[in-house]
Amino acid sequence: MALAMIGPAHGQPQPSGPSPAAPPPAASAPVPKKTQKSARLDITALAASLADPGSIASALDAAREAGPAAKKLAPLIEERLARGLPADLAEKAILALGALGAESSSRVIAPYLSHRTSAIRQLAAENIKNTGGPDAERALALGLRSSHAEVRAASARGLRHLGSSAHVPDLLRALDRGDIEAAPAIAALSSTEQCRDLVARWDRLSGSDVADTGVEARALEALITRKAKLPDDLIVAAVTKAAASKNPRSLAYLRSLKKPVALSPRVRDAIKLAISEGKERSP
Amino acid sequence: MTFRDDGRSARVPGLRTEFVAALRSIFVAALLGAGCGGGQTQGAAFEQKLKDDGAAMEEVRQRLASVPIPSNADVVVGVFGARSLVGAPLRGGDPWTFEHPIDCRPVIAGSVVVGAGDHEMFGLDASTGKLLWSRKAGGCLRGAADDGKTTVVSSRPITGLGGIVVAIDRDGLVVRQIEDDSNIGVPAIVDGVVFLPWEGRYVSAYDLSIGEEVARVRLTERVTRAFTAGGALFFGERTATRFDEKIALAPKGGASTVGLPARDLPGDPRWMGSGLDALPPHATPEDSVRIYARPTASTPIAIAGGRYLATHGRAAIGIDATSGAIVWIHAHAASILGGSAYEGGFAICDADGRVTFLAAPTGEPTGSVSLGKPADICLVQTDSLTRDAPRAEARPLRDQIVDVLALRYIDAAPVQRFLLRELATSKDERATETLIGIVIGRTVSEDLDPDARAALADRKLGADKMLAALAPTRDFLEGTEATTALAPLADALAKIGDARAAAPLAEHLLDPDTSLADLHHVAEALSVLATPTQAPTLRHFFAMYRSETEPAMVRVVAHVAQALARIGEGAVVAAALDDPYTSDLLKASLPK
Repeated sequence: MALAMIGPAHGQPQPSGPSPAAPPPAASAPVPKKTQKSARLDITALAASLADPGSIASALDAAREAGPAAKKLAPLIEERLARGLPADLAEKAILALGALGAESSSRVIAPYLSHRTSAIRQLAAENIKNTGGPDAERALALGLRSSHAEVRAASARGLRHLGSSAHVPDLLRALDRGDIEAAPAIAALSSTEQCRDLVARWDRLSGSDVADTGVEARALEALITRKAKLPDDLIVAAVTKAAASKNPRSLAYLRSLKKPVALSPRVRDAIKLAISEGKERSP
Repeated sequence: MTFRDDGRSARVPGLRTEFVAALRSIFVAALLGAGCGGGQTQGAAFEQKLKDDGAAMEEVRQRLASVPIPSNADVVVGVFGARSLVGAPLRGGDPWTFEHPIDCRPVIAGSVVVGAGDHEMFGLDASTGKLLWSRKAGGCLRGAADDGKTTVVSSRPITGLGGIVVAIDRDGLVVRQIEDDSNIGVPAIVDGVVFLPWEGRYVSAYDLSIGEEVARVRLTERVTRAFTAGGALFFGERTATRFDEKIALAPKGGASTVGLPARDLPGDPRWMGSGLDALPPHATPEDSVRIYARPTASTPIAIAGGRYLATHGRAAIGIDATSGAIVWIHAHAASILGGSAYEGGFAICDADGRVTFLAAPTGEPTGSVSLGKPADICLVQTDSLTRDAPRAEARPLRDQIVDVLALRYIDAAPVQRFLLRELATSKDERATETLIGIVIGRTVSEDLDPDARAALADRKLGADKMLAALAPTRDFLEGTEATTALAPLADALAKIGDARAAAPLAEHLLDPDTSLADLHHVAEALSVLATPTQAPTLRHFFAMYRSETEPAMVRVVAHVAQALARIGEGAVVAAALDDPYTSDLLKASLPK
């Protein structure tokens, strides 16, 4: 499953190296750039197609491809989804609304996070973050309580995307209950004290059972690249623990930070040491 | 009445053996072949001409009124294998053992144990196991009586029809014998007068000293047994009629008779069973499914202690003898094979060879006696036995029921189903809590799980407990799970009509992990309980699933449509009828 939002949230500093481990497969609609295709869009025609059962599927696909440029279609799609659609069309509608990114869509997508069909609730959880707003935040906070791991993971990513620091305590509880996907969100959103709690739980991210998820690398990246800077000792502690885990993805991420200009000398030294130890330990 | 007896004195030996119809009765042939005996009556011992209006029987009663009836021994006797008898006094004392081939089930008569096997019949002192007498004989025993001097044994002829009765003294001599075409049941003896129930309708008084039937009475209730208890004489089978000053009224139904209230019980147990049966030397299923009760010697006649005991497998159920209500239930460690009622309690004997005393008011154990080894058959006789009151306080019936529901043994299902039905109709509100615990905790076997759920769904009381059980929802962060009793709780609350359930039911409706089977019950309950507060949830659900074509899910959505219509949201449903994305199956299910 591709993480739709690998890397920092909007407005946050970009890491200097490549993105770490591949996140879970993407279920959310890629958000097209605003200028793309807008010239070719015929909103009126698409709106008419959305009202026709024979053409609604292609219209939803077109709206998704158009992205924010077709935002005017959001109310129409929302209305259709709110009244109910067959499963295949509901999936397309959620993807389209995710791509359009209208805040009003959150309220309509939210119930689908608890749809009985796994694919639909996962799509809803992945796409609602793109619509933003308090309804999305509320839905994603509830999503952390879902009994479905894929919904919880998507909700954690969504909350990170929305920058919802109010839910860090719940994210920490989720981590305590084994939801490692909460870790990157915690790393990105937490206060210093909450971050200490995360580092104290770092062993949950470095176990052999989760080594292939790359979650440690993503948490590390979130710590290092977040906008609200953390004390050096916290980052050093995390880097040291990551180095000790010998996780190849984590080491690869640290190596990718060739010119970490935004980092303090102490952190840079810790990263160098970690990379150096990683080399020594390599076969 | 006239016996076709030759009128010889009871103790005069030399009865003509040619009277014996060998083909009909090897048993009697064997007895007489031994060269001993007294008067014999064969063919038609009970003259049809004799009046059965009870007048003569009243004369006999007056004659015996001053004769005390001795207490029967309080003993337990077990049979092990093909030739071991072990007995023990219930008041304390060492067990005794007696080895003898055993071909049919022994009986306890007064203070004597009568057994038969290998063409020999024998009598043992019930308290010590000492051999009192033995005779060459065949056939199997229906019952016996003993007055301390003479043992009267009723046997079933090998043809299975008619009856044979022999009276044997302590020297093993036959002092009287009767062979008749009539089916003769279990006898009793009082001061030399033998009381013989026959043909299920009559009791004849037979004077051993003169060898004649001296009185007869016809009873309106079925009678195959005569027995003594508490110093009184009784006749009956499904009821007990006391031999008292009202006995002459028996033909008109005016005798002192006590029965048990009619009620369903697992396995349909009988009180005393037919006295015409000659039981095998091994346990039968009926041994574990019995009723034990003791008629009172005092007036008016009643069931002692106001309680009777019904057994089924390892369950002993104390029942109010007037109302038929279950008062207590005892979960036993082993299969109950026999028992007896005494003043203030019941003695039950199990396959482990242990007799446990249960207090009649509460069912609490008050002690036990062990035979020291497992039993194939266990016979218990109690008469003047008393036990101290139990030290422990009685536990609530619902908790006692849970004990029995937790038992695992072959054929436990009937009694466990019965008890689940009892819980379903219990007037104790906390029975609801018990049933919820049973369903959620899966404390019953898989086979009984549907019964437990049905019992909970039928509850009319305890709505607060139901709501409390319904409240938890699945929450990963809180570590909570939804109840596994969702369907029966939804059903019960819908029947009760408690609208407080609507909110938690709506939450379960939207829970994607609510099973489809449970969802149906939730939606059906909401169709009668929903309030306008649930409108958003119901609208969301209806919208998300109105395109469904899977029949079970369509039924769920149809219930939700009903709920919407009921709370004034019919327009949502009406619009769906005209919408191309509503499945045809659902449209067909919705009211137009």
